Amino acid sequence: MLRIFMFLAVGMTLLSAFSLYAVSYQTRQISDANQFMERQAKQLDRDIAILRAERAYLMRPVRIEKLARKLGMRPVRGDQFVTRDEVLRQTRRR
Amino acid sequence: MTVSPRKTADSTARPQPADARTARVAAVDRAGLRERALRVALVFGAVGFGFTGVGAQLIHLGLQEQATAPRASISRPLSETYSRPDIVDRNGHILATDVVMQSLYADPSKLLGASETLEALGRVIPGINTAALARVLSNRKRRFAWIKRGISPATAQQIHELGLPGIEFKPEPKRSYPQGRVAGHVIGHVNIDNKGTAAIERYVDASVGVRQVVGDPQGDKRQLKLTVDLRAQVALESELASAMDRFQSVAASGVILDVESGAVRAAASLPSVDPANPIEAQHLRYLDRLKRGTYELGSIFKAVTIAMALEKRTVTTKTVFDVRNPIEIGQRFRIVDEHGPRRPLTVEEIFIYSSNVGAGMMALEVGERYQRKFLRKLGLLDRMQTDAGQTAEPQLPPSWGKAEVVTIAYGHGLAIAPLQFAAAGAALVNGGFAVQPVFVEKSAGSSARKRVLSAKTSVAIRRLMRRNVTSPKGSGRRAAVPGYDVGGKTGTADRAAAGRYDGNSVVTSFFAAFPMVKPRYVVLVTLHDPKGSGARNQRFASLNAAPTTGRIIERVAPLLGVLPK
Repeated sequence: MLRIFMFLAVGMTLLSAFSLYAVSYQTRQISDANQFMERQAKQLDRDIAILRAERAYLMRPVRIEKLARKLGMRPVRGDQFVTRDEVLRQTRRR
Repeated sequence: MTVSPRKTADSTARPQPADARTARVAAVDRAGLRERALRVALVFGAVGFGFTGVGAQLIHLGLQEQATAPRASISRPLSETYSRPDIVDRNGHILATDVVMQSLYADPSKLLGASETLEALGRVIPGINTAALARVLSNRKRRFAWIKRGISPATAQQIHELGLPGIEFKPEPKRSYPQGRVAGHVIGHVNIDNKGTAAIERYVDASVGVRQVVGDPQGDKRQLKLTVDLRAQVALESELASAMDRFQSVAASGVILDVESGAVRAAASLPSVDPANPIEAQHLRYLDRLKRGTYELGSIFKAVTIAMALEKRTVTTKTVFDVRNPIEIGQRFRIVDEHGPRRPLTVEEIFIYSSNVGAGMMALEVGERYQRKFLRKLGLLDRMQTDAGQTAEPQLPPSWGKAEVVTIAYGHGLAIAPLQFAAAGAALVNGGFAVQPVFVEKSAGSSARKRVLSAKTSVAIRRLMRRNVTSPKGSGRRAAVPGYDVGGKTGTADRAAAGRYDGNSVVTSFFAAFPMVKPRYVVLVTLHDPKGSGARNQRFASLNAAPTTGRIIERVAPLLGVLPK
């Protein structure tokens, strides 16, 4: 009985030592991969920030207005609005 | 103690004397015991060694975990930079954001030669102060010195390719303003360390908070949403710029304010300021004339005077005043109407013809004490706090006698920031509730409403303002916009300079609200020293500020969700 216990204990010790070293190795690998991904994420965050700023720059109303005016567009006037009933009335007439 | 079966068999095979046999058995037992103890010790030793190894590995891993945990960076005292939340308009358009840029620094102890290094850098970065830097970099005991902060990626690459020892890069967040000068005075500025120094940028530091950057800068995912509508802001600035050009005005300001919540939908002071250039903003030319300048705003104050008289019930809109004779106080003070019909006028006509004598007579009836009390209740005598900074201190007359009562009635003798008047004006037309201008979305309309005048007076003022635009004789008729029920009041005031009035220079204003049936927005436009193209009468607000306000309303009303009738 004691002998079986001893064999089991030795076996468990060896197994846990092996598992622990395997986990440690895996942890190091995952940690390296994580650090790499974190660096990539930070870089992507920076790229996104720059792209958002660039998009805001390109979409600024001052620029759009100039382009729109070149295309012959003008700011909307009050008399260009019609009610839905008016639209329906005109549609029915046609 | 047990005896092994093998030994028992040996003893039964050959009979021996009892003593010898007993001694032999005892010796065998002792040897067996030693052997067994040794075996057990070996096993326990192996197991113990194994677990000690496991324990050691666990401790090692624990220490490793601590080693990779974040800790205070050595760069902390070297770089006091901060990451800031984005500033966006009410529709989410970016007004200010952080982008990471490289900053260049040197470790003088590692430089091969300060002058050679600077010579090489000077070829790539034009304009660096090489003389001052040479002194700093020559000190070999130093370990850190900034060379240039916030350099472009292309320049950083060029410097990198030089391969200079002791020259390093540090990524830092830098504030970027994609809209350029638009809403520059509202946004404010940050300093070289990315800390807010003016207007909303300063509010960000005080109320939202900025995060000190330790190590690599992390993006700040937070956003500060303003009440400002970027499209309305651009329309306002565009129309003010056109008016400045058309009337050769030196400056202009305008504000569009929600009459209920106090939310500022657009606020501009031209010439506009570049948020990325804080030095420029210190020049008087770029003064924020909406908040930081105080002006006598002229006859737009008559709306306040009439509201005051109606509130004290000394008049109704039908009360008649004989304005044919001048008001004379003492030897030196004499006020006379230079325009308008030479006949007694009702209060409504005093408003429409903008009679100074009529407004003065009303104010004299009300009296100095009540006038002060009423103006203070409207917030016109105290400095106003907003989340984009406080307004300039109102300039009150040194003594408040009868002459001052009369001049203040038509907008002279009391200089205030236009934003303050817009807020007071909103209270005149919104049913009588005090309005606090707010630039940040979350604080809009959050406080309890405080009544400052009766609903009946508010209705009367709305009616007068509307009449001033619809009447063919009304000074505000050029502000009319079909479908939007605009109402308003003009004001033309001589500009005070060096302690006296400059007869050739005026500040013209138009205070408007729309739609007058139930106003949603007030607009206040102010033009500074408009001249017009040769025609002297273009100096009057009815000819410059009023039509400018009409154009602004026509453009912004659909953007703000106000549809024409």
